[in-house]
Amino acid sequence: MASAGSGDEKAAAAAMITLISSDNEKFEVTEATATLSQTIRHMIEDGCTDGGVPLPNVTSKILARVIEYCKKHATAAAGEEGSSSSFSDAAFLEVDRAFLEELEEFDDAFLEVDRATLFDLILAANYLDIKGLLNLTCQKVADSVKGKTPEQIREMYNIVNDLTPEEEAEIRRETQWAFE
Amino acid sequence: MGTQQRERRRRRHRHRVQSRDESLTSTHKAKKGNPLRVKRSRYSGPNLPEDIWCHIHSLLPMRDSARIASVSHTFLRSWRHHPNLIFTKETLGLKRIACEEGDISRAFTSEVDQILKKHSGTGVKTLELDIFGCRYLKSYHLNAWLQIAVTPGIESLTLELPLKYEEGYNFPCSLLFGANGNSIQHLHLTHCALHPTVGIGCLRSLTKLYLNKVHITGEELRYLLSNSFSLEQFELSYCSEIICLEIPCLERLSCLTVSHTTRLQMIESKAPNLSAFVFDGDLLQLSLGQSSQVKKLSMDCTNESNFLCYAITNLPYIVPEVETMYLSSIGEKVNTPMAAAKFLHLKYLEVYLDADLSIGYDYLSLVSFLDASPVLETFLFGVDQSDMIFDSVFADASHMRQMPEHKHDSLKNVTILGFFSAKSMIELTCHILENSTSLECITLDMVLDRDDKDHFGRCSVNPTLKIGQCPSLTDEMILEAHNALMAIEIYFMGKVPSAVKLDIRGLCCHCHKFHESLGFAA
Repeated sequence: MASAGSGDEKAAAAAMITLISSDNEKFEVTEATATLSQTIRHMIEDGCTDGGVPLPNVTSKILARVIEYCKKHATAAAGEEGSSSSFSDAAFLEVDRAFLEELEEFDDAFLEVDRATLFDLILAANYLDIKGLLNLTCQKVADSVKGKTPEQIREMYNIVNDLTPEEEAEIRRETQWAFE
Repeated sequence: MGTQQRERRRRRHRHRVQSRDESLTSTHKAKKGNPLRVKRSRYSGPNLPEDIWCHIHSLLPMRDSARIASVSHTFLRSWRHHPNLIFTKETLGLKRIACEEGDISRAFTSEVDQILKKHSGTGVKTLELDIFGCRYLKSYHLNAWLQIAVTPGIESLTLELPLKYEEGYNFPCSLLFGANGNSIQHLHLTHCALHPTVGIGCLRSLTKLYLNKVHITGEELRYLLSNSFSLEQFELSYCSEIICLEIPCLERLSCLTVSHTTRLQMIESKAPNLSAFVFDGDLLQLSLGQSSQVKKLSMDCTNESNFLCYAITNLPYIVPEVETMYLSSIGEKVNTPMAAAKFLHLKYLEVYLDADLSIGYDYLSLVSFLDASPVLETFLFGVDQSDMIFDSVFADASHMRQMPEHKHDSLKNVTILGFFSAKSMIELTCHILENSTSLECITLDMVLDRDDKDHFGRCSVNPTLKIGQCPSLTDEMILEAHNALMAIEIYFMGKVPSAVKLDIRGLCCHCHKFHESLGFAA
């Protein structure tokens, strides 16, 4: 029984899922990679992934990037599980640290995209419910607005000021403490 | 899930409508000829729905989010839904206001009041109130704020109250238990009274509990803990009413810290997976369970209780699995005896001793710890002293004791901080050099710098340090450091095996100079 069980596990680990982008491109990914998306995880649990998972909100260009992120972070998640039992071992900690550094470098490089791509990645991460990717990409936007004036932010992100001068003055009063 | 998706779709739809309006307004405005708006090339990609902007705001510190609230209605709503409210004098910009303390309290109150009122019902996740400096703050304000912010969904609550609240402010327990108790994960309380009663309900998500200067009895604490079965970290400090600390069988509790809890006489933990225990205070009766899993132990004993003697006699039974141990004693009146039981898993040991309160202590008796730890790899010993009263090796170098039958096969790294020329210190070092078959490195530092956690050494030799940050030494200490260096020269040079790296750290040429009063001519 035990050996059969481990065989099943292997089969499950190698199970492939097909993701279909809005422009009909097909991507084969492992289940471990795909389930970083809670949306897809739920679809797998509900058994509705046969014949591929159509993702009408995500283009092939963006989906390819999202998969790249998930692949990298799925191995990270597997690594974490494997090493947690021997966390006190200095050698393991060393390996973990090196891996985390590598992951950080990957994330930094991953974020080197233009604004439109960044927004598309945010929307895809939100739609697919990939928490890590959503936080990573949103943090990039958050960092970019930090310390900017409202006018600069409107310029940067094409946001129209829909506040009346009276409302603006009131907000200014309300948030005066943040400028002191 | 269905309703969530519908909500999201609805919002997206609303957003689409909104952006169409926006584009209309923008052309309209452009026609009016606002030079600022048309001059630069704009970003023209997809835009983000409001819930995403809300999320982006939540990743910003509260202050930064407030500063950009006037970008648009979306930004205003995002700010008013900011889930992490950290109220301190700094975040509210009150630090630089030079006014009397009454005014600080008043300014703090009015700002927090208006911010929280606008945040009412928005699902605050983190509330931190650091009002230590606001002595005149009224407790009814505090209660009103807690009422607004502590709602189902609250995850972290930190209260740093003024000193006088320790006696006078009773934390409203009823707020935390019940529906709000399901979500709270971190609870940090400083300066208040906390009186949970039987049948309070449970805090099912609480993972971190920190009580500092809180009035709570041992029994009340037991109610609280036994209803916090997700607890992972618990820290108790300066809670002077507790005499007996009983930790119930909390499966997830891994880290326990107890410090300066003056009347405490006993700690008894039944938490089966406790792996780290940190204690700072007077020696007490300690029981960490039948089969303690504690792997990291730190004990800083603040009374003169011959703590090292206690440690080697008792700790092998209390923490049999310990791997990393930090012990600090302020006074040893007896030498460290040979151990009856061993620390079979101990790999890392740090021992600190105040030598001024340990006059006559035989440093060679520390070999007992090395003997009791067969797999020990790293040994760090720090000596703190200013009186410099000891039997110098220069006064009597006859009969240098040796213990060749005691071998330490795993020991690789040895560091002695505050090395000095006591005869038994020289004997200890000789012993380590001669009997540690795997020794790789021995560091002898004439200065104990407790702030130098990474053992960088002096500012004059380490370019990463700022000049002038070495600890100050008295003339006596400087003089002794010279003696110690001389002793090293005489007793160890030429005796260090070639495979062993000897690292000698002396005085700093910037920070450690004789004062003129001693009239020391070079």
